[in-house]
Amino acid sequence: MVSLRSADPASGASGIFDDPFVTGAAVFIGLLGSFVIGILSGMRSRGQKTYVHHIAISALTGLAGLINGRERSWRADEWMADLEQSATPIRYAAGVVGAALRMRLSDLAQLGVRPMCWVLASDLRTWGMLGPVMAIAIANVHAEQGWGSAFFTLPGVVAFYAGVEWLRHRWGIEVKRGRRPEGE
Amino acid sequence: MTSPPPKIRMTTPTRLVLDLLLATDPDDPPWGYRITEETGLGPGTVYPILERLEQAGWITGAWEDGIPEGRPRRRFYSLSGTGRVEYAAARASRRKGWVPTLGHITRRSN
Repeated sequence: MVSLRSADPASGASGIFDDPFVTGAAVFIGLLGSFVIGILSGMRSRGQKTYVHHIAISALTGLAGLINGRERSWRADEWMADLEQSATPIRYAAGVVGAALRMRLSDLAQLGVRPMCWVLASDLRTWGMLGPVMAIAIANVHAEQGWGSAFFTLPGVVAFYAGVEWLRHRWGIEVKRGRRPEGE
Repeated sequence: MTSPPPKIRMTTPTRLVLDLLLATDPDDPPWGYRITEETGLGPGTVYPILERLEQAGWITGAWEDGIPEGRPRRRFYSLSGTGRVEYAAARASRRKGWVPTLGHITRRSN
């Protein structure tokens, strides 16, 4: 292990600060840190805190604008107006970045939801896709474990049916059906 | 292809925003920051809700008239006629809970 203490001439071991490069780098880092802290605290004491805040807020709102995309570019004006009022603008700007992310994720989710809505809007499409999968699953259970186990997959089929109906109800999907003759 | 209006899910934050919009005076409509302050929700929650409600036609957003002195223009939000009707219906069906879903399933089975 390298010792931080100066070299002991009697033992012949060398300390890390004996190296003039390491000593110089340590002094430089220390001075740079003090300089930055001094500038920031000086700004704060002179009431120039808003300058640092302004940079942080601009960076965060710029990031939110990038995430948001071109279609929502007008939102930046709204957010800037709201940020003006906030007592904690950096925190608010971070929230705005979160809002931009959520809006973008919701756009992505819509891409996945739309095909699902199309499938769920028809019994033929829904059960035409799910039916064979479930039939194969039951046949597989039967082949592997016999009729007893296959019988226990029936609650799963009922759960699938209930799940499909629940999704249709939750997403407000009207199912297209063929016309039934009058009086039925 | 135009995307259909989003379905509004009655989550607690959505209800908080709608309740606030329902309670505010039309002459003094709230804007994003005021909504976050009065509902206690963060901007990360409020803005996506406002966007979804606006796309669904439940609320209308309008920029402040003129150019105010010393600050940027705000975007005001108010509940639309459709929004009032839909929200009342959603609240009524929410009271019934799971019953419509179960009823829907049994109706379809018959």
